Amino acid sequence: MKKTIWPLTVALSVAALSAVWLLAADRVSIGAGRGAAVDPAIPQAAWEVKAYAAPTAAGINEADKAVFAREREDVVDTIQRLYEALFLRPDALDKTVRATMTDAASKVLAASRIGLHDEVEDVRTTTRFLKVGIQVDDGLRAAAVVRVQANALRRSSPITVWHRAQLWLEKENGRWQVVAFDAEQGRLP
Amino acid sequence: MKRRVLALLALVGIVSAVAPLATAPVSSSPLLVGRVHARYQPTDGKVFVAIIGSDAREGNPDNVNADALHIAGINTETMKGGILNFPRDSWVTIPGYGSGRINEALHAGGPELVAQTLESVTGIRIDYWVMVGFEDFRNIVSALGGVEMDIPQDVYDPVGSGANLKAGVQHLQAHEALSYVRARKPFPDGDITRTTHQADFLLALLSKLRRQVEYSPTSLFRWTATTRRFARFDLSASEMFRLGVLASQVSPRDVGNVTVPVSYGMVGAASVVFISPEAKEIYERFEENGSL
Repeated sequence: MKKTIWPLTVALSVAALSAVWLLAADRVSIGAGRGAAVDPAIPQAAWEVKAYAAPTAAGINEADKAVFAREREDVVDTIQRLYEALFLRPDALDKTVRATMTDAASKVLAASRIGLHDEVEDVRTTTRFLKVGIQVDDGLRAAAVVRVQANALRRSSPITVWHRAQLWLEKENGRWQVVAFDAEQGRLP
Repeated sequence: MKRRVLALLALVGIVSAVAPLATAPVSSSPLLVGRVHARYQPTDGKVFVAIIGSDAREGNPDNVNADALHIAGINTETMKGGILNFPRDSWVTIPGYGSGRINEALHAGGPELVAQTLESVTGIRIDYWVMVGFEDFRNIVSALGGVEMDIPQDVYDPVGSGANLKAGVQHLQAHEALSYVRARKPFPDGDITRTTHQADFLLALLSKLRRQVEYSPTSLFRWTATTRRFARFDLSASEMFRLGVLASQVSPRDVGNVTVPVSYGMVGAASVVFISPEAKEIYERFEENGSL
């Protein structure tokens, strides 16, 4: 059994390493950048949103449902605004990040290259998916999964970018903010 | 090309803006979570937590000692960690009380004194303590649906912990998990092996948390709700949430499980263990790196 798996493992490892090397060799300019807003005439994928009340140990009662109904729109709007800025409104990125993330989280985002770079233009999102659960016992915390895929032009060459993230949010002083995130982003071959 | 950004350093702030710790009685709540220092302001991205398992149970609610003593650390920059285990009979200086077994600190001064004793022994500044008694250990593990563990050897302890487990990977129900972390008599070095097994259990729990949060981040709410349901704690819900996020992002493979080296001895008629001088290097490494 081991003899069968061993060469396959080596082959897959080499392939994976090669892929990493090839991709690294062509470092695409993906990342938080600045630039003009994407032309509103370009059609964008509609958000597919799944929002739900995260079950508590005691289940979900009417009061929990009311909390969920109250917070749902704000949580979804916070995340959508952030992603609108990351992918389509680089001109509004700083302001939006300040409004939707804590200072500490926004510093990490600023140091990253998450989002789209200013060398990228004509961005057309093809997937925008958001699944968010709101902790309803006090309505102050939420966790979300976001997936975005977009086509764009970089130096006149077409590229496709994928992005997926987990976000954790808290509501403080009446405002939802991302307190932590785990994001991955890459370019499809 | 693929980039991954983990914004967890942000979470260290979690732990900074907080109200002073209210002293909680030891016996009234089997699981307690609290802060050791009222003003915790980490500057180097490391968090240390004292984990205390008390023998509080029905019929023995007050005269409690610590059967499990660990310091868990996470370095939020490297996302590596460690669990440092202390045999309960370790002979140490308990601040304000003189020399004694380390597990006596709980009865003498509650979880805060246990944490202070661990600080005094190791030189590591401990930010939080967590304490669990028998019943709520069972309740928590049960509410989380049990834990999958790889048991390294058969454990048969019908008289003591009641453990009757075969070696190998298995799903432990709550009562089995409790018997496993309590069992010491089947092992030649008793509590030394037990304390290592306790850390193994914590790592199995961490593994489950990580898997569930990776699959669905909102599952973290179930974990925090479970803790809150069975606990009286002095941390805010926000702190618990952010600590939970932090813990869920650490791979158990990056968490070392180390038991302090000891030698056996006697103090008067009491059988104790003496922490070896070599432990100092472990403490320094743990304090420096936040991991083992």
